Amino acid sequence: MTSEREDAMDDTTSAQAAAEDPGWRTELAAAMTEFATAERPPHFDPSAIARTVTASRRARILVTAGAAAAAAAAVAAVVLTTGAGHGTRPLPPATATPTRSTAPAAPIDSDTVVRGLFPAATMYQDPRTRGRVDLTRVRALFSDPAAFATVWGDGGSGVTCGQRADGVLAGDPTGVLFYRGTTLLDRRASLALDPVSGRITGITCGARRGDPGDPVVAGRYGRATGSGGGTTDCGRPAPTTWLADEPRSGTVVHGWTVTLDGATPFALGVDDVQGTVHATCPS
Amino acid sequence: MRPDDLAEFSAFVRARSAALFRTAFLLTGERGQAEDLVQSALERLCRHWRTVGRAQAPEAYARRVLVNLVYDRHRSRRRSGTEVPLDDGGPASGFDAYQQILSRDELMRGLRALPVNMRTVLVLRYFDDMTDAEIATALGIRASTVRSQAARGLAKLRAAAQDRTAGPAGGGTR
Repeated sequence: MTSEREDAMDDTTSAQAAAEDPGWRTELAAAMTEFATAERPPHFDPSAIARTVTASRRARILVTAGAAAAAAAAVAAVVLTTGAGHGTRPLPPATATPTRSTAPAAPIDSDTVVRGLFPAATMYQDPRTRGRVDLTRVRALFSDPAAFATVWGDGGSGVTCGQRADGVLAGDPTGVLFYRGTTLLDRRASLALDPVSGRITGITCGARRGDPGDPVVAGRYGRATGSGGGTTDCGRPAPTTWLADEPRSGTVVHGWTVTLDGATPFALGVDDVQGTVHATCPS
Repeated sequence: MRPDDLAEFSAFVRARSAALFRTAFLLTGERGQAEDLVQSALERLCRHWRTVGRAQAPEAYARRVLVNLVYDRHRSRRRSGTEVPLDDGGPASGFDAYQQILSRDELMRGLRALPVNMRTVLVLRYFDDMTDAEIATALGIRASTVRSQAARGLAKLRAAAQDRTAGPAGGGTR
């Protein structure tokens, strides 16, 4: 059946329903109004919201600038991963001392934590990519050295709940699932974050309890990181690890932000109706 | 955020946050979650205020973000297996002096049990008084899909109400 014909039938159904009982729909509207207005709306403070957004932006900029300083003090431009996009902007030349003294005090957001921690842990577990992990940068994600030692564990295995993993699905920091290849592993992690600094204070591991994960994403990248030759995206021809976080969904398309081997994140959209997958690479 | 942007954003929050909260409350049925969703939607709106405000479409943007957040929450719940069951086991009741109250209560329970896309279309159409074209734009779907979702949602609600009351409820004529 064509979509046009389906639409025509839907329109017929809709018209029949509308003609059938307008009083009932009026009652539905009244019930909604009664229900919704029974609750007194809370006060939303626009200034506080603006401060939160500004602090989040500053934290991302500071973390990025700090990493750049540690890598190369002469670098004058870094990639800013702000919410608006992934453009490149020039920053003043950074020196190690002031940046290091500033970065630990600045709050960081959960996206920064998730995208800094899990790719580092999964890459550290693979001898081929271990050398690319900057543990100084990873430690900066933790509230203190003791928290790092406890959570990171032996070779990053504490982050993945003692499992050897190369894929991570983080619906939010308190519900993180792990994959090896396309296989969804049995244990899930929940990060504890300091409410003020945003940094990691602990981790709790538990049973996955039937959560199916996202087979489409795992199938797309798990085959690449495992034995087979799966699909890769956005300039990562042969990634060894993947992270999908920040889930989002519309009526037809759901999606994730995907990070391959700790590189720049990009958006992945999955059309639930057509079954197609589309990666949007940062410009 | 520049002072003039903050002033415009503050005016929008004062004027429209209550309406956004009520929509979120209808979509989720839970005050705490509605508050969280509106707070998140306003934060995203603030982040993109210069672009959205310049386009003079902050409410449409906020509503779209809100709906997407509801969908995200629904998807997350479905993944973690904590979705609320379709029928919460409310007892069937015959006609009495509280028929209207019961009927509206059943309608709201039925609304919360609908698939999230149908629920959203009905709330935007009958509570927010949005046209089908406006809903289609907000949800990124076709107007014909809005009409079909609304029709199916209404049919499900009506069937559920009739099942619960074991007879025509609220003027049903079938």
